[in-house]
Order: sequence, then C-alpha cells, then structure tokens
Amino acid sequence: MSTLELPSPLPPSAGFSPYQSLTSIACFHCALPVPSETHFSVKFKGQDEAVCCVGCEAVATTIIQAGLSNFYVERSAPSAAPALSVTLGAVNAAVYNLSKIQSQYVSTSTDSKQAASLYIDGVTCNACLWLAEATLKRIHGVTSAEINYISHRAEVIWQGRDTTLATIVNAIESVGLGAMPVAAGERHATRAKAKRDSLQQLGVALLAMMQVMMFTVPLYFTDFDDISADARHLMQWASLALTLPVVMYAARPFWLGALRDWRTHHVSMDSPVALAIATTFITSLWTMTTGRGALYFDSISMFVFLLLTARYLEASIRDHALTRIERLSNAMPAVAWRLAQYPASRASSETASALLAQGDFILIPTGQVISADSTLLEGVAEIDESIVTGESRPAIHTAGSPLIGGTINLGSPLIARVERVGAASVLAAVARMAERSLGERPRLSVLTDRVARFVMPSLILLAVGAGVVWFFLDASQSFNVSVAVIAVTCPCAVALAAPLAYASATLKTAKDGLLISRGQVLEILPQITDVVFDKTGTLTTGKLRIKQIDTCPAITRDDAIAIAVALEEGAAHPIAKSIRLLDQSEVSAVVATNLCFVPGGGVEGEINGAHYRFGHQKFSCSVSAAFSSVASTSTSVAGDDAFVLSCDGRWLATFQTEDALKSDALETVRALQRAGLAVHLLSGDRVDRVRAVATELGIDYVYTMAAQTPAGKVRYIEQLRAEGRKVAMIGDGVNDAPVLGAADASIAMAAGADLPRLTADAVLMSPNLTVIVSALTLAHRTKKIINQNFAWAVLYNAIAIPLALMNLINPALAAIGMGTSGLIVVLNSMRLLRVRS
Amino acid sequence: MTESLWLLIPLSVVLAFVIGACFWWAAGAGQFDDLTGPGERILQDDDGVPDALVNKQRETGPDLINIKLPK
Amino acid sequence: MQAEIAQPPNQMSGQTLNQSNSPTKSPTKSQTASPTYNYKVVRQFAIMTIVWGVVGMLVGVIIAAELIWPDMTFGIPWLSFGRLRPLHTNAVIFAFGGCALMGTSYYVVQRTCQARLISDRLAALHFWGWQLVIVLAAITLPLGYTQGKEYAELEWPIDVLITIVWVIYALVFFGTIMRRKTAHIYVANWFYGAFIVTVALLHIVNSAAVPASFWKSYSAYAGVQDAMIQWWYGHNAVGFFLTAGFLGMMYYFVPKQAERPVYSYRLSVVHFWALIFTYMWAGPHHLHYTALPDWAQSLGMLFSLILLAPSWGGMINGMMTLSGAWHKLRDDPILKFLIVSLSFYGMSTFEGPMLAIKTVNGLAHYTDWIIGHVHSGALGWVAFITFGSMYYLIPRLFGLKQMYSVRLISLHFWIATIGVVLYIAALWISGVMQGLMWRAVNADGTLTYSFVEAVKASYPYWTIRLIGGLLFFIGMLIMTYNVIRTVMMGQAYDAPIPATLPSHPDLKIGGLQSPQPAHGD
Repeated sequence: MSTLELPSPLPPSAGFSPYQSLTSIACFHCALPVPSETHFSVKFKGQDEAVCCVGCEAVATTIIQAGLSNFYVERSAPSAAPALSVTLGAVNAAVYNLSKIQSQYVSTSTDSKQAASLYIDGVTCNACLWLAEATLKRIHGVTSAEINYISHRAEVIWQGRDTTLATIVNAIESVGLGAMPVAAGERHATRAKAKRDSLQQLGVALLAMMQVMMFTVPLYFTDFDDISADARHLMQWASLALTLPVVMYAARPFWLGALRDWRTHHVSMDSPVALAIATTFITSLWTMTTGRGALYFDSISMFVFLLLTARYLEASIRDHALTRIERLSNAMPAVAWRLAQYPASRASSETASALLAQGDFILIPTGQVISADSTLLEGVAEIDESIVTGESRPAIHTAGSPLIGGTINLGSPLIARVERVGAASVLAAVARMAERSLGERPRLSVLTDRVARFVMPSLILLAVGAGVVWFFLDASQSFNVSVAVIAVTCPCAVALAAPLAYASATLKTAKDGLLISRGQVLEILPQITDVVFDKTGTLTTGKLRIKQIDTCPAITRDDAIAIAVALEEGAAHPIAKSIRLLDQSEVSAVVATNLCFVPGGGVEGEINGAHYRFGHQKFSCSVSAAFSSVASTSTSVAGDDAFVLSCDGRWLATFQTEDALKSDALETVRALQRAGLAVHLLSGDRVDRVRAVATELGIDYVYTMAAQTPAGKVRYIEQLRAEGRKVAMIGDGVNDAPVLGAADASIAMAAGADLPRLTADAVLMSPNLTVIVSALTLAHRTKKIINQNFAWAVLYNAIAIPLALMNLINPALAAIGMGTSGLIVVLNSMRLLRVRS
Repeated sequence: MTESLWLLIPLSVVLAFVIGACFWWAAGAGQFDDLTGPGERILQDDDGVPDALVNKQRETGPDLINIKLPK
Repeated sequence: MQAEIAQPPNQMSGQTLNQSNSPTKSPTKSQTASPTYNYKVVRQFAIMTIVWGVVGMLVGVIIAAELIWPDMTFGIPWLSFGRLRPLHTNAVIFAFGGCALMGTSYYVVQRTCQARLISDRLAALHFWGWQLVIVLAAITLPLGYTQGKEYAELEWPIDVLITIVWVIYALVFFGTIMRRKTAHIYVANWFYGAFIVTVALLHIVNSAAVPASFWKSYSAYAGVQDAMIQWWYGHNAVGFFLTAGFLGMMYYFVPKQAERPVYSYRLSVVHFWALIFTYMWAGPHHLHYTALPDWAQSLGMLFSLILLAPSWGGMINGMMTLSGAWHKLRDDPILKFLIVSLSFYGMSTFEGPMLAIKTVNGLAHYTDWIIGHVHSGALGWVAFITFGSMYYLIPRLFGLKQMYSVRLISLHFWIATIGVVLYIAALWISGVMQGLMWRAVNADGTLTYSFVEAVKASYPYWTIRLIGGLLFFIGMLIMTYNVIRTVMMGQAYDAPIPATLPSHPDLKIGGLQSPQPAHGD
C-alpha cells in the first residue's frame, strides 16, 4: 500500500506541469497547449505526435499499444485530461480489494464469476465509451463488458480468479477515463424492469390493435353481403384471439390500478378504464357465443394502446430525470487517504471512503475529490465547490472551516477531520431530496383522479339508468344500450386530456434544454407575474474574464501579459485560465523560475533575476508601501475582481476582471419584460456590481436587491408573494435552494454541477437563457391545449352519450367515435412537441 | 376466395403472435434499453485487414488503369 | 472464367493467411492460434453473387433483345422468351440476390455478434445446397418445367430442396445469434432474421402442391384462392426478400463504408418493427380489379399507402447517415453505390404505394410501367446496394485494403447509373403509353387501338430499354474483371475474432510504468 506523507508537496508533474511557457501545439491526447520545454510524445501511425504531459503520454501510449488507436480517428472531441492516478501510477489498486468495497460493489455468483457496475467518467464523446468498452474487453479474465451509451454505465462480468475490480478500474484509468464503482442498486434494476415491462405492453397492444383493425375495418366499410358469413365469423374469431393478449396482458396496469383502487377505497382513472375494458370485452364474448349484439375488440385494443402510450411517454420523462440523480450520487470518490496516527505521525494509508467514520483524520491530495464532509485542520484550502454552489471561483477556507464531500481540492494537500459520512452527508441529503420530489405524484395525475372520482360513478349510474329505462321501453335492447353507453363514453379523452399535454410539453422543454422535475411547474408558469433572477452564474457566466489591464508607464500591456502568463503557467486558478484566453500573438514568451503558489494570495516567481508577484492586491503589494500612492493615482479600482502584478513589491499592472453577462441575458430579460412580467434581480454580490448588471439589462433599480443573504432573498420573495404576486425564481446552486423553494416556480441552472438541478421545479440544462422564455410560451400553449382537450372531451361525450342513450349508436360508430376522440386528444397534445422555440 | 381466407387469416393470427412474442422477448431482454450504443459499436469493430498483410497492393493496383472519371 | 473464380474458395482450407506465400513473413503467434470468423462461406457466396449476377443479367439482356427481335433465337424452344423470363427473374432474385443476402448475412451476423458461425459444415452444406438449387433451376426452367407461379416457378422436388437448404440457413444464422458475445442484436440481424423466417413461411405456404409426377405438380389451391395466395407470397417475397434482407445489408454496410453510425439507431429499430407490423397486409394490391372482393382490394391499397411511412423512414435514416460527411460521397464510388441505391429505394417505395391506388393501378397494371417499377427496385436498389456491399466486402475477404481498382468501381457506377435511368425512363413512358392506348375508346365505344398497335408503338422504348440493360450488364462485367484481379492480388483471409483475442499479452493494462511518486514507498 502506498502512503503519502505531509508536508512534502506532490511533485509538480503530478497534477500540473511545471510553470513553463506554452507552444501553439495542441496536445495529441487532450488538445491542451503543449508546454515548450517538455518533450513528451507518442508514435501514432508512424509519426511522432506531441503530448502535453507525462499523463497524456502514458494514456496515449497505452491506447496505441493496446491496438485501440482507432479511438483517435473516431473521436469527435478532444479527451479530458487524465486523472491524477494515471500520472502517479496505480495508487488505488489495493483499496478496491478491501472487503467493504467488495461487498458494496461486487456481486459474486456461484461459478466464481464476479460482476460490478461502473460509471464511466471523463467521457467527451461516444468514442470514449467505445475505448472504455474495448479496454474492458481486453482485460484478461473479463468475460463480458457492455456500456450503456445513454447512462454511461458499464456492466462488467469477470472471472474472479483471473482479475479484480482494482485491475479493471485501473485499466479504465490507464486509458485516460475514470471509472467509479456504482453500488448495485435494486432501484436501478427495478426501474429498468418497469421500463421494459411497459414497452412490452405497449408493443403488444400496438400490434394487436393493428391486426384487429385489419379484420374489423373491412367489416365496417363493406356491404354486409360482400363478405360471407363464414369469413365474417372467421375474422371475428381472429379479432378475439388478438384481443386476448391485450386484455390479459397489456391492460394489466389498469387491472392492477383498479384493484388498488378497490382496496384503498380511492378512485383513480384506472377504474373507469378497467370498467370499460371489462364490460366491452365480456359483451363481445357474449356476442360471439350468441351471435347477437355488438363487438368491441377494436375499441378495446385501440383504447388500451392509446392509454398505454400516454403512460409510457410520462414514464420515460420521469426516468430521464431519475437517471440524472443517479449520476449525482456517484460524485463521492471511492478512495480516501486516512491518517491513522495523526497527529503523532503523518503517514497515510489508502482506504475506502465507505470505511471512514466520524472523527477520522484524512489527507486530501491536490486535485482530489474530498471523500467526506469534514472540518479543515491544517493549511489554507482552495476548493472548487462548483458541484454544490455552481460557483466556479474557488472558495478559500482556513483551518476550522467545513469542507463538503464531493468538492475538489485545487490547492495544496490538506488535512481534515471527518464529520459526516454516508447518508448524513450533504450530497446524500440532496440526492434524497431530489428523489423525493420525483417520487411525489405529479399534480396532473391528481387532477385526472379528481375527474375520475366524478366520472366513474356517473358512468355506472348512467349505464344502469339507461338499462333500466330501456328495460321498460324495449327489454331486448336494454343490455346493449348499457354497454354502448360505457363503450362510447370516452374517459379516454378525459383521461388523456391533461397528462398527455403535460407530458408532451415536458418532453418538448426537455429537448430544448429545460428539464422539468415537478409537473406542476407547467401549471404554474402561465400564472407567473414576477420573474426573479439570481446574478452570478444565472445572468452571468460565472467565469472570470479580463476586462481591462492597467499598467504603469514602465511596461507595455504585452509585457504585463507575458509576465502574468509565465507566472500563472499551468495553474488551475480561474485567473490563470482567463489570462490564457487573452490574445498572446504579440507577446514574447518569458520563463519564470522558482515559482511558488501561495494559497489565498497568488503566485510568485523570478524572471531574469527579478522577483514578481501576481495575485490579490494585499499579496502582491504588501512588501512595499509604495503601492498605495500608485494605486490612488491609477484609474483602476482594485477590488476582489482586480489582480495585481508587482515586481519587487512595486506595482506594475492591474488586471481587471469581470464576470461577463451571458450573451442572451439581455434578450431574455427584454422578452420577459415585453411579455408583461416584472423582472427582478436578487444577488448576494456587492451593490455596485449588481447595479451595473441591472443597468445593462434594463432592470428597474426598484426591483434590484444586492448584498442579500439567503435569508434576505427568501424574505424578498415571501414579501412579493404576500403582495399577491406569483413569483418564478431563476437561480443557481444549492445556496439558492431555500430561495428557490420559497418561490411559486423555480428554475435552477445546471452549469456543470448535477446538484442544484435537484432542488428546483425545473433545471436549465441548456446554456441558453432564452429557453426560459420559450418554456413560458410553451406553458401558456399547454394550458390552451388542455382547455381545448377538455372542451373536446366534453363536447364529444355530450353528443355521444345522448345518442347511445337513445340506442342510436352501433358498435362501429362507437369504436370509431371513441378511437377518433382519443386520437384527436393525442394529436392535439402532440402539437406541443412541434412548437418552434 | 373464402377458402384461402381460412388459411391466410389463421396464419396471420399465428404470425401476429410470433411477431408479438419476438417483440415481447426483445423488449424484455433489454434490446431496446440503449438505442445509441449499438450504432456506434459496429463502427468500433475494426474489420479492416491489418496493414502488415497488405503492403503489396499498391504496386499492382489501379495505377495501371488511368481513366479520368467525373467525380 | 467461371471455374477459375469459383475455384479459389475450395483451396482456402487454411484458417488464416496462407503463410508460405504471405507477403509478410511474420504473422504473430497469437494470430495463428486465435479463433477466426468463418469467412470461407462468405467468400464463396460473394464470388457466386458475381457469377450469378453475370448470368442473370445476361439472360435479361437476351430476353430484352428477344422483345425486339422475336426470332433471334431461331425458334429454339428453351431459348424462347417464355422460358428464359423465369430463368432471368430466378437468376437475379434468388441466385444473385440470394447469394448476396446469404453471404452478407453471414458476414454481418459474425461481425456484429462477435462469434463464429455455429457450424462450418452446415454453412458449407447451405452454400452447396443453394448452388444446386440454382443449377437445377437453370436446367429445368428452360426445359419448361414450371409451376406457373410467378417468382415460384420451380417444380416440387426443387421446392423441397429449397426448404431443406433454407432450414439449414436458419439454423446456422439463428444458431450464431444464440451464441453471440454481445448482449444486443444489431438491427441488421433483425432484418436478415425476418427475411429468413418469412421467406421460409411464404415458400412453404405458396409452394404447397400435389405432385402428379416427378416434374409435374398441381397447386394445392384453386382459382382465385391460388391467385390470392400467390400474391400474398409474391408481394411478401418482394417485401422480405428484396426489401427486408437488403435493408439489413444497408444498415450494416452504409454506416461501415461511411464510417459514421447510422443517423438514428432508434429510428432503424422503429423502422424494422413498423415494416414487420405493416408489410404483410399490402399483398392484395397485386390483384386490383380481379375476382378478389372489393374490401380486400381496398384494404391492400390502404396498407400499401401506410407502408410508405416506414419505407421512407428507412431511406432517410440511411441517407442522413452521411449528414456532415457528404464530401465522402464525392470521392468514394462505393458510397455512391450505397447512397444512390437508397434514393432508388425511396423512389420505388414511393412509386409502389402510388401504383397500389386503384385508379393509378387501372392505368398501369399489366403495362411496362410495372416492369419499370420492378427494375427501379431491382437494379437501382437491390443491385446497387449489393454492388456497394460487395466492393466493401471482397477486399476484406481476400486480405486487402480495397479493390484492385477504385477507378473501375467508379466507372461501373456511372455506366450502371446511366443504364438504370435509361431503362426505367423508357419503360415508364412506354407503360403510360400502353395504358392510355389500351383504354382509348372511340365515340362509338369501340377500342381505338388494337393490341398489336400498342406493341408496335413500344418498339423504340424497348430498344432504349435494351441499351439501358446492356449498359448495366457491361457494368457487371467491369465489376467481374475488377473482382478477378482483386482475388488474384489477394489471398483468402480469415479475420480473428477480436473479443477472444488476448491481443497484446505484453501490455499491462492498468499497471503503467510511469514514474512513481517520489514520496511513495
């Protein structure tokens, strides 16, 4: 077992390359620029291709030597930079052999075959999945490996005596991808089974419907004499044979639903459906044996098929959302480094995250995901908490601060004490919350159930009443009329009217990039009067961009950039990224030496013997008081958003950064305002910055609130609601969770993290804000279409039922009427899928 | 006419059941679980002949024939 | 020539490249030891596809010429139109098309299931059995032994043989699917599978007959029943032999040649089931205005129109596979074959439902239009997709990167395309003309034209058709030359099965030899 020991820092080559200037050559593997002083390369198709670091070199070499070089031909996007463990060598090998991990992730069958599910990470295009699959299949001992291209989940089966889970995970990592063992959840299997079941039922119903129509349509459209009685009979028997599987098998959900209703004394839409199927089927059987009466085989199969379609559409949308939650619960790493004898000794050993207990001390190496919710004990931490907050700027934590499991340590190695593990952790709690929200019955079916409660008794009453009345008019027709009433009444249209419209709208918005997790949001959106936006990460990109560079007269802008680039080379800090994005065509590269990264401050190093610093104002200029005078004469306002470059403590340049507005923020706000909605801006950021954004977007200052705490935000929204306004909150991150929860409707930004998408009614997956506007339009349309559907259902039944009561409806008309009525509702709802965004 | 129906209609019913059973099996066996991967997977199956086996082709190949053709 | 080409398969006994005269002397040990796919039977079928293509198309050219010069065969009975025509249809559909389907299906099923055929012996039996069927057909049909059912002319002893061979085919194919190493069954296999099962069923039902002697039998059905069954067969033979089977080919070779995944795999699966669910019921459109009851005719028409949707779904799916890579079409004649075949498929499947509309059918039925329609499907769709697939396949079966000459493929493509266009345009015009002439009546109700006048008027178009057919045949000869040179250049090659290949034993996947961290111990 390898150990890590503090305080020796990891070699720079481990995570990031040493500070060097970059060339314009893109890495063959990850397409990042290749540093000029490195000479890593791989041989691909007889040619030497430059790669950026030892990690990429190792990965590319492995891929090519394994005969998988086709990957580089097929892939459509550059690969992700390889994980740290690749560079370090297989560090986590032994951990996977721990019994705890084995029992959690690996299932063993009697013939010593073992199976596990892995979530494949770092996938940039489909070729990566192929690479992973091909790699898995090449491991000696692996007997089967299949990856689901949609869920990125690999199901691997191997021969226990030939290989281990550790080998398999390392194999995936050796080709530059990540593999996280996924606990074989029963829920996953159940869900997959339910999906398959409903598809089976749907298929059977569809096939049967088509074939039954085959046999019944000619009977409707031809003169009675055209088909001989023999043929007629034959076709009726064929219809019966084909309807049997529909009634016995495909309609099972309705039978089960009706049974449940019976037991729980609660009427859902399933009961009238089951009643209609049962009555018509039994009547048809009666007709077959007596030769008198009507046949409803075609109506039954069509009816069942249409209802199953609606159900299937709804279910697949929910399934989609659940898959995303599953991915979230995979964010926690499997491996942790425990400091067993801390503080006496700083020797660490690998262990499974699952084995950590409260009070354990852990080491968190650079670039690693934090294994558990914990308290920082030593060091200044720079943490990427974007998975939780959606904020890309790293958070700075000092000793005593809480660290959240699942976030990433960007700075130097840390020591922390474990506080919460497993189900008590933040990530687990959020995942649970999201799952619960999906588990609750959507309002739309609640709505239809309300209708059902009314439809069911009235239908029975009507049918029985009609039977009784007809018994006195013409006893022979009495039964037929009763059945005709049940058959012709289209609960179908009523049952489908709302759910299918919502399902279509949900599907449509999902395609546009807005994932709806709570059905009622579509119901509420049309009533919205006020839209409240969060600023950072919602209206803005949440990423730093250099707006302005002020330099002292001694140096040029290009010089300043050159020095900054040299100092920040290879650093992962957002400012380093934004500097690299600057135009460097005129910049002559310099090389900095003795680079030292100071957490929470910046970076310092030497160029041609001079000592340079780059970072926050206090850090860069603290060595000399001279700065204050310079700064005061300078035009720049050096705040948090300014990064200062200094040489031997003298001010050289200030890099003003800003959090740029999203390109379609203005368009979106304008469109919402045009639609008559009040647009608000609610931010925790400083007043001047929030005001600037509000001005740019044309948001009234009255509606702009800056420097708000989450509690303040909630108060603001509650106040709005108290005034009788309907509020939609559009925010970002779990920090906004209470705020999102306080609003009537909430939309969260998905930006990079899976987490926030779980607390809101809807999650914006697309980078385009305008999707919100189209969703709003769609919600209005949905409302309209539902009204149309209901109007149609009422109209149809208002005409059809009296006709049936008067015994004026023959079975052919009933089937056609009911079928078309349902179909009209389906097609009308489907129109929502075709709305242009 | 009707006599052929006595063959064709039962046949079609049987066939419908067979097709239905095939679909039922396919859906139940998870054949429709992932409808992206299989399309990619056939491309990843490299059915080309290894370079080492074909180095002579270009010497004898189509250079002998030089017909200009519309592209 | 035929013998020369047919010979190599027999000599290819070795599983891998024949090492004694291998261009490279160092196939590694793992290659010789590892299991391979059964390419032998694929090779055999591929070669015979070419052979029977030449034969069938030659007969086609001859009978096209006979329409213009009825006496050109000096009255020899077994060379008369009536006897050669079934030979032509049988040769191109069941010999050329059949070998192509069987060969490619064996290739596709092995590659996509990553498993060798379940039995080499049964596969060989299938190959030789099918060749025997074809040879028997080629002998009996000119001699005049026929059941008189279109596309099912062969007499009962051959029908029995076909049944046996077909069962063997089904055993090998489905057996191989059963032992697949992948969980999913690729959509092409579904199409091939449907083709195999349905054709078996159609064949058995339609060929039911009462033998009177060894070479004579009477259909088990009589009168309009016989017609009904025959066209239930005839229509579905087109549907499942010439459509489903070749769609299987399309769903494998188009993505492979284009090096892109099929545009929408989901759509391809929907395409399959939609086709299966609807195809069976369109048959009666072949019997419009016959003794078949009106309702059955109307139903046939309805389902024919419904069929347009899945057909075009498939076409669009195939064509759009190239979306974003249309430039490949410019340089790659194989892709040209494949994509143009899809456009012909789209055309024919549009034309088909239109012809099934009773009013249109009233004009077109029994005229040259129908023959033109069939050939736009047979030449444009079936033959083109076969050519494309064979050009893809043959080099791979003979250990080569590509065909002997890519330029010749291009030449073949252009000649064949011109041929098809001439052919179908000529027959479309002559068909409409015939239909109009036949139905034209004078004011007094008498027919304006006698039948022979319509025949006479057709001559120029038949000549154009002959030229078109001849061009197509020349293209086939070019292909044959190209294939012969390719076969001579290469050697029989049986690819190793990758999944079971311990490909690079030296490589330690997962145990990288990168520098260990300095602090590790």
